[in-house]
Amino acid sequence: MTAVAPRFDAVIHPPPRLQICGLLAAVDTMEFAAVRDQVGVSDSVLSKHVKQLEEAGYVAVRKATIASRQRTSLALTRAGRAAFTAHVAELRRITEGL
Amino acid sequence: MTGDHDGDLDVAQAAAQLAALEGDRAALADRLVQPWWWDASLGFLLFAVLGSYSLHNSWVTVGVAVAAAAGLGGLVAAYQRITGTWWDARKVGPVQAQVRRAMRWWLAAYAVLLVLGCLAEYQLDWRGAMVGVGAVLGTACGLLSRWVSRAYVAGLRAGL
Repeated sequence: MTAVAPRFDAVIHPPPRLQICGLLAAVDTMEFAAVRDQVGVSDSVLSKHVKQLEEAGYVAVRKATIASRQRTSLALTRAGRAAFTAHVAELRRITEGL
Repeated sequence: MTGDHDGDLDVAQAAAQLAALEGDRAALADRLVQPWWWDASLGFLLFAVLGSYSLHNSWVTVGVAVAAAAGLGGLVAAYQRITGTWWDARKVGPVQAQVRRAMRWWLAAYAVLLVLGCLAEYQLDWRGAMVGVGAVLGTACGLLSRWVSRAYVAGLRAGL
């Protein structure tokens, strides 16, 4: 992550969205319910943030019906991974003096 | 973590966000390790496929391979249900280079043992040679799966 040019990203910056991106960056896909549990927000709040990330092209949402239950999984897109990596690099740049 | 505002992060806020991200990764690591039976089942599936070669019956081998493929699909579904995630440690996460290197060694060893086992079983007519090869590779597969998970989780816990 250190070789990436630091860049603040206003879409990723709000804490829940930063958390969502941080979780998704560590895996290929993560189910909506698992993200909700890890972030500690309600379904509606998570949906709102996911929608904003999706509109920015950072998160892909996939719905599948398995055993008559609908499951929603989330994944960071390539652009999302790049933006998150650059944002974390910016956080590191800011804290370099610590 | 900080509130929702644009670009005016100070050092303390940035440090808090980094610390929160690292905390989230450590918490995520806690849920990623599969139960022991998952690795044992994976190894058993490989053992079953390779061991079936010793029966010298193509239909049996094909049948076992189809059943093993279905079993593999079941294991993937079980993992996703248990952890709520799916990941390929060769492509995402903190130990990609390490895992890719290990996989290259694994594939090389797999190919060598498979060829030796087939030669022994079919050319030298050492009945049961592929059962032995299946047992060795199945055990190695289960252990490798366990190792990958452990390395991945340790990498997540080590921080960003």
